[in-house]
Amino acid sequence: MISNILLNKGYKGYGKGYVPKKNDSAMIQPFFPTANVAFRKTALDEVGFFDTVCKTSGEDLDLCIRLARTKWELFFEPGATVKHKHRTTLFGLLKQWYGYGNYHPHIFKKHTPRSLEIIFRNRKSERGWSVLRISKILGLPFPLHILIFVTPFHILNLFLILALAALIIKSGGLLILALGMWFAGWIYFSGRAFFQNVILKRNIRWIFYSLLRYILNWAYVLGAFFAGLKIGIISLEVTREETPSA
Amino acid sequence: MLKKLIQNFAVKINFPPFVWVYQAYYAAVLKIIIESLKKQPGIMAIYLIAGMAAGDSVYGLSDIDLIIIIDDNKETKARVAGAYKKLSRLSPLLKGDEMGIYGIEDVRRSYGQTDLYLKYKFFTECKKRGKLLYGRDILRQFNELEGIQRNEFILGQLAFIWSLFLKNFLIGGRIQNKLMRNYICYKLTSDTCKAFISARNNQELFSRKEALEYAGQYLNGPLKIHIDKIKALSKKRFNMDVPRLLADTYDFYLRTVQAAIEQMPCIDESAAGGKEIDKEVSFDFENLDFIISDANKAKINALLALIREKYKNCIRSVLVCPFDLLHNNPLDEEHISIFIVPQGQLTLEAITEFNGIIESSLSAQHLYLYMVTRDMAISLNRLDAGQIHSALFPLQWMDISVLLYLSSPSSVLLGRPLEYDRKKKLVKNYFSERLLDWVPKHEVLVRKSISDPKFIRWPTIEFQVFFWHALRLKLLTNSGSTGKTFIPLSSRQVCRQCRKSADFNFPWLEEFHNEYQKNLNGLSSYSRAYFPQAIAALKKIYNFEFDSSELEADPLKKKMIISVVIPTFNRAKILEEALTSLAAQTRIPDEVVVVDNNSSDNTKEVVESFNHGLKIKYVLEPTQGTSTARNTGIKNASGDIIVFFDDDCVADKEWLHYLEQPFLGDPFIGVVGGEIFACRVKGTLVEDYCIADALLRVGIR
Repeated sequence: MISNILLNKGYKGYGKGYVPKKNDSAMIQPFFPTANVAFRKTALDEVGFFDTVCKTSGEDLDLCIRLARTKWELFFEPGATVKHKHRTTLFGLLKQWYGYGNYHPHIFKKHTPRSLEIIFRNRKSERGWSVLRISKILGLPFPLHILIFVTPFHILNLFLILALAALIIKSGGLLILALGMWFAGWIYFSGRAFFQNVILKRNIRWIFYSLLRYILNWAYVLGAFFAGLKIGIISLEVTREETPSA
Repeated sequence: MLKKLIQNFAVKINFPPFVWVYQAYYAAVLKIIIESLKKQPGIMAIYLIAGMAAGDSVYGLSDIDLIIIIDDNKETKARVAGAYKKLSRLSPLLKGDEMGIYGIEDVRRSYGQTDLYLKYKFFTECKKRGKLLYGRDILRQFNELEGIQRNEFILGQLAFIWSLFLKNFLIGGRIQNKLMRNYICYKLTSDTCKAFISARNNQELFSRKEALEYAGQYLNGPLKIHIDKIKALSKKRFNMDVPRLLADTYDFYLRTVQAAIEQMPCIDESAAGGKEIDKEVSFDFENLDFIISDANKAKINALLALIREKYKNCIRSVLVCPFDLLHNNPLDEEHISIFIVPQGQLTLEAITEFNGIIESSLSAQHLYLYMVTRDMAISLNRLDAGQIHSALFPLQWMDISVLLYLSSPSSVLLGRPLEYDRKKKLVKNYFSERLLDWVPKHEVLVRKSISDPKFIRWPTIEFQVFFWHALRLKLLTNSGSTGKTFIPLSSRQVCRQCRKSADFNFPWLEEFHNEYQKNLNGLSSYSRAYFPQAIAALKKIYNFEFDSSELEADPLKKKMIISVVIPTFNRAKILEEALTSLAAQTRIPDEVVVVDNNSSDNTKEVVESFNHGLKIKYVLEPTQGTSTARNTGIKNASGDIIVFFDDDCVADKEWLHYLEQPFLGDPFIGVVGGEIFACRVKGTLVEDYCIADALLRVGIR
């Protein structure tokens, strides 16, 4: 759920008007959080109410996917604003994000046929994301539900895991290579934001924010991963990749 | 991909004992299908019409085409379709996306009128040579084809054949997959023979082998040799050395079309669509929605001058079509293809020459000019505006692709998509499944698929392209038949011209156009709100039937009853703040439902003692979970709109007013979402992070 909000951040945001109803993957369907949303009663009667399996989060995404697959339109009205009080403690925030991850695999399983689905950045596509569904390409059934987001977060962590492996097998060359790749990747993905925020604006908080985001990403990914395992899904999701420009 | 691999492999080892393996495989697949479909109630008959199992000659390449006839229950269709889709995963030979599931009433209707050509074709073919696998032979009770219906059927068949021809051409040009090419070549020639014989002799043939046999009697010259070679091929399957298709096939095609046309008195030139004119065609390059470079403008003008000079102002008619066929995405941008039909008989050379000049000199992005003959124009008739209300001619893009091929056998035109192969990899898409995907897309424009939610995505760009094109054609046909004819190139020009004319001066037209432009640019737009008006306008102008069952919705109201649902759990203090912000709204909610999710604090007292003019309903929901609490809220709410609000939020003063407005404007809006900002309470670092990172913001996703 939250990946939806976050993944498309800073991209082609939408203004007042009808929200595109994407049907290539349920996972990139735009939705509105339940803190500020109005449903037509007739529409709710038609598609059904909230999914009670989603206990703390995800029910809004589920309902929006169901509505988007019928004639009903989704409309975004930026004039209707509410102010939300966020969690004030790190633990509270981590718990919230772990919870966000918890019910996402359920929605994925509910709305997608069995397949290996890879979602990655594609700046040319309309929503900024592209979806690869393996069973569709092969024309064959796929035995499992697998959802993988390909983002800098995953790529950088891959290098870190490689570095860890190098430590275990005590290979100095590999360690330097992996760390070098990690650093190069980091420079590529967020070096510019680092330069602008920390060097130019002298905003030291940016480093803290990045760290916090990194931890939150882990909370979310682990939440989704473990919840996915429970219902027989492998889901490697991720949250936002851009660093905040405070 | 895998399917192609299997097929390639299958053709290569297409001799015993491997053939027996395929036969066994086909038989097993069919057996499984029948056995599992038998369990579904509501199926009346299953026919098998094509594929090796039905006796076609090329093993491994043919799909299994099933026609399943069911009773007229909407649920049955969905159920059977689901079962069929599951089965289609079992074998690549079963196509999951092209399901031949029809209600009995559907079949009856399709037999009565010919608007659904593809289905119609299936039924006829099915009746003639289909194999009944299960159930009662229902198709037997239907009458034979007669007169116009029959010829429409033949013409329709050609459209498909020639799309294959086009495919073959593309494949023959670059792709080295010889087996596929040969197979298509075989299918194409025999199908053309089939249509030819049907048109000439009132003889309906449904077997490719027979068609080739008969065609040999009527034809001579190189085409006969060609057919002989193909006949030889069908005897010796595993050595498929099929010759390339000949340029003579063009003549063959035209003769076939003419034979069909001769027996179709209903098709005349006006059915070919567009605008009959005497003197001049002109374009205006101002107020376009797209950019045409100055060089291209000069070239277009020069070409028009060339037509005037060469054909002595004898343009017979002009066809306008809103699709761009060569670039694979026909409807996401504005395109216009203009087909000019000169007076008198044109030779193939003349057409080739002209189209060759255009292709080499004009590199326009949005504007395409072609010259065609009368016969080609007639085969193009499906793009006529008149057919929007005519049951006889459904819209099919394939006809144009045929036309493009025919007007340029030297591959000048088709060279273009091949060039794109290197740059954009468009060729791959061009003859992949998308080729067939286009058909329903355009059908949406007309009528039928309206009832199939798979193809409807309001607000569809397709509908809007169709709308502007419909207006354009009406403007063209309404202007006088002599003197200068002005062709509006882009929707903006159409819009302006409509505003000037007396008949189509709709006040909302300009706003609709603006929203359409936003849609084209991939932005969210308000265009949906104008759809009812646009449909009403089309109904008025064209007097055409539009299945608007999809458009049924709540009646528009001036004021809605708003219920706000707030689930809460142990947050009595901040809940009071939330309620206060609700009481301060400019549009006061008609009802507030507070769902207490089994709190242990003084939530109940806070809610019951709160009185600021709000009508508050307190509901206790003992089961934990926000979804459960919200569902309880919905059940206890009585409003037309149910607004969800959280206890940890504070609403702005005009919040409900803004949320209500879209519902009042468009009856199809099911959800309205607003923006969520963060507010600072304690000022901790974590809170600052949430603000800086814009957590939960909706508009910047």
